[in-house]
Amino acid sequence: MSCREKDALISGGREEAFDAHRPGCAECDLLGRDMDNVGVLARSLAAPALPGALRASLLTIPRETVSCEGADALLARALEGEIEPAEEARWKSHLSRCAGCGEVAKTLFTLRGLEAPVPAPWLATRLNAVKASPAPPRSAVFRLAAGLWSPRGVITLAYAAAVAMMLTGFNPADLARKAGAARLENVAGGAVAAARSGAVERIGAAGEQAYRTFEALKGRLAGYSRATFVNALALVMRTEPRKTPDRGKTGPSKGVEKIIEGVRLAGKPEPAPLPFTSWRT
Amino acid sequence: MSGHADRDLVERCRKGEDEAWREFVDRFGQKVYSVAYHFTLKREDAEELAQEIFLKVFENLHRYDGGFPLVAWIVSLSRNLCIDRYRRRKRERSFRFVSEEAVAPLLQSGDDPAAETIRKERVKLLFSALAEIPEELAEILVLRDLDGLAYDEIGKALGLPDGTVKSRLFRARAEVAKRVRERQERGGPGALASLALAAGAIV
Repeated sequence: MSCREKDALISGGREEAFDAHRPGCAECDLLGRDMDNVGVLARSLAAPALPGALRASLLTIPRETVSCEGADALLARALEGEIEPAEEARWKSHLSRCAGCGEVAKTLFTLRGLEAPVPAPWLATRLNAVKASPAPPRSAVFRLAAGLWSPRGVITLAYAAAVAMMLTGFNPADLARKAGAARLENVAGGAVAAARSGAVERIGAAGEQAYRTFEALKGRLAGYSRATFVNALALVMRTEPRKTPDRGKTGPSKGVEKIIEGVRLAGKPEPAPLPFTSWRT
Repeated sequence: MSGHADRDLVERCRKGEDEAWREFVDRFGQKVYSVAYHFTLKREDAEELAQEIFLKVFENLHRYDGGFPLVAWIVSLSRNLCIDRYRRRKRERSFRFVSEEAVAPLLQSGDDPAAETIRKERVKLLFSALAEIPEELAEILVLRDLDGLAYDEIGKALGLPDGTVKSRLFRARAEVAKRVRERQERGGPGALASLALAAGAIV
């Protein structure tokens, strides 16, 4: 007769309950003795001796592979094409077993390959066409206009205008001052005449006064316009490069360093990419 | 050896000290080969597996933080490799058949050839039954009863609480014992002596 509790006790891993149940159940007691004997037999076996050749092989492992952190350093050198053949063998041995490092290396080499894209055929055709056809000749008037319209031409013209104004003695401030004095003289004369005249004459004098005021304002406006022009000329003349004040720096800025580094790297020949297919061998 | 000493040994190995690596191999080479052999039961396969385990250990030395006993850490790293080999062996048609060559390295030669023959048969019976039980039970029995790891070392290596380790070991012994008993009863009255007698002869 089969014990109903045996399977439940064993599948539940209830060793203590099984030991308590054993004395009263012949079937479970027999199984318990078999289990004890399995343990005794297994523990009595000798450990297989480590073969000498295997031990010698294990001792050479540091010369055959690298750790993950060592693989990172070798990857950087491989990307620069500076890895030694012996190091490369150890590195590839590691990549053949380490999926993480292999994926990182593959990604970086793929990105590196993207840095030099092959141009489309149409671009090469167009560039060759532009190179083959020289620019058409330009007329002397066109070249002169183009030269005057350039920044250098505009600045030259501004200088010439400023020099001409200085030589002719033209001064917008004097003009404005003269206009103001004339206005005062006219106002005073008008007031005296108005005091001596009748109503009709006063109305005529007021109209004349308004006309003169308008004329004075017009002259002042012209003076302001010339002054604005001179100020604009001064601003244009100030576009010369100014000296950078010394801030006590001993070397180039970080941005400059990056540019220098970029130029240096750009001038350096790129190492040939390693073949991926050989990594898994 | 203490956790501090284990960590110190690992650090020296990471720095590339040949002497430290030699010490490492001499301390754990035998244990790793033994585990590998119990999972493969073939000398060539065990050597290959041990080599793979040590390669993996060397490549991952920087991950060891001293929180585990070093042997438990090595077993935890090598677990997947061992289970893969074990499954490969179980896929073979003859995995239930355990040859005399396979068990010979596990037996110490005695003076009595007849007793040695009987003992060899008992060990073959044990390993063929072990190959039939689920692998999560088999690995516990191998690590505890065949390789002599402590419960806490097995627990840390496999990521299991001690209670689970004990309960699985109990189930593993029960499953192996049931299968040995079944094979024995199928063999009839002239078959091998009972396992109880076998164990009694050993003890």
